[in-house]
Amino acid sequence: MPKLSEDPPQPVAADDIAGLFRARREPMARLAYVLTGNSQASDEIVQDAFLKMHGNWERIANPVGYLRTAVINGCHSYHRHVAVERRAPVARQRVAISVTDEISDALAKLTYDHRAVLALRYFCDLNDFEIADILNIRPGTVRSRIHRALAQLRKEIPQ
Amino acid sequence: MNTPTLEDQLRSHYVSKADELRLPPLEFEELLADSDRGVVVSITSSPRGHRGSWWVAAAAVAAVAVGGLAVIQGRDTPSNTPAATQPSEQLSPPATASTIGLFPAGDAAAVVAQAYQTPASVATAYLADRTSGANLPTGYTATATTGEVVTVDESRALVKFFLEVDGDEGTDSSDGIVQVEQVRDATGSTGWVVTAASVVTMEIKDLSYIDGHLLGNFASGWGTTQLTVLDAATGAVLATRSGTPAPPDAETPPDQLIDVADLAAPSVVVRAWRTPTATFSETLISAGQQSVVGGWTPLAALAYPEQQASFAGSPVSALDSLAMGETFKANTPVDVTVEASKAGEKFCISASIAEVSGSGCFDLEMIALGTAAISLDPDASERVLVAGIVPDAVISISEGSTIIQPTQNLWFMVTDAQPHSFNIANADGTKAVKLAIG
Repeated sequence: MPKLSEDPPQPVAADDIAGLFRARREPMARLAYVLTGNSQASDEIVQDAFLKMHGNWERIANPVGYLRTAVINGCHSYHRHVAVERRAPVARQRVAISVTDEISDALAKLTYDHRAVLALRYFCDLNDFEIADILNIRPGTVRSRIHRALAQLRKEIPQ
Repeated sequence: MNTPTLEDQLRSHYVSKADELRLPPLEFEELLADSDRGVVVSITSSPRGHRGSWWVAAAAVAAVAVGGLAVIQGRDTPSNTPAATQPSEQLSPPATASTIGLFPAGDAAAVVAQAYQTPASVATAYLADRTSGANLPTGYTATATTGEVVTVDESRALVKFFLEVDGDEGTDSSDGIVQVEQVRDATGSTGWVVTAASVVTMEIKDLSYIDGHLLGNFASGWGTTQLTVLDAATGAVLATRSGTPAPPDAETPPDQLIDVADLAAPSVVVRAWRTPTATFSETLISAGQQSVVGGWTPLAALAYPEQQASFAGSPVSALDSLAMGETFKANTPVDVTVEASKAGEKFCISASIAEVSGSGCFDLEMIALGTAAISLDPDASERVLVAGIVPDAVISISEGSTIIQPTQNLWFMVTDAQPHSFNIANADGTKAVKLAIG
């Protein structure tokens, strides 16, 4: 029976959180970065996830899964934090010129939930069940979110 | 030259974006040391801590919203810190020990007065009431459609229904059963009353109601379960609690402890809505009863009696041997994937055909029935894909001259979209169940 899982859980010794940090810090930060676009915040989200994991190490059966969930939740918190900051009044606004592309613009219009499922599917190459596990939702909900997110992107991006 | 698909564009975008990231060198020991010195500034909440905070907040809101009502306690997770159980007798009406069912409420005379003369009519009215806005979790709408009526005996029947729930997560649907009974008043007039209802697979275990103390376990499942205890005679809410999401790293969803003291109602109803899954259940219990099992299991036992003599005890060897999270795929003309769930107690089957996909998760008890299956109708009712999980004892799934042998506990069939009845049988045919599709 062929195995399909493209990203099987990596066995990690219980005392090797430092090794896990070396191996997974960058992939997790890359995931955080595609969701936040902020390198410093991404690094901090991942560091925070590792510190939280360190405090719960004995109780975590699947460290990589735990990290993914922590990073996704951390990015969600970051977006709420940013949204609050943006709603706050500012005395002066600096005009920023940035180079963006259609996909970035279209992704920015999606909800965080939709951006998260797309990143987990098309960046992390996770299947419905793995994404459902990370987001604590049903696989059917994963599919519907992906479907809706792609549909919205198609509206935004001329094909 | 082919235009890249949107999915391919997304993959390229993510890789390109991620390549922009540059991280400064850092070892975990340094991170820990910095953390001890307070250098690391966290901008996030712990997944566990965040959800715990949310849960406690939700419980507090519920307690405030219902005033002096009792709060149903939870357990098994750090976040499920039991809230104080408060007496609720001031809200209970004087005892009227003659309440019969869930709907219409009241004694035999009250039921007969409502004049529901058929199982279908009372089930339809009941479901319309329970799917009305006031009885639904906030933010959800629901529609229930009644279907087949199964006669149990001369005074009992079951009405199957189909529930669709729409909320933030999209639309979800499930099968359900309403149990109805015919009652007779002092004059000999009759009417029908709903006595239990559940959507697959909402379960309640070991419910007891002794000396005003309601105690039991509710299988919470994944998602958020909103529990309510009501006076069966008046419909008054006696206790409520909402917001019990299982933490993402929990191996199994915790049961919810129902623990409400100092109840004065002669009969109470335990109602549960779980979201975002379309799941609902109501169970009635009267003072003095104990070890009551409610929810889907007892109703399914009545609705599908032929399935009770199924394949209990037969293992599901091929799937049992899967590691957690491992998947395998049948090499078939259609894409069929099966994956063990994270809890290790449920197995999920996912199937797709012509870009239409669906999935279902089943515990071992359901798989032992032999009828754990999903069906997909991909193209305007021309074809249907049926895929199922069976225990080792099942060696054939047949319909007429078509016989399928399961492969490693899996079977599937693509056939015309007409009603089908598959015979699922063991080696010598001594055990067999029917699976009806369409």
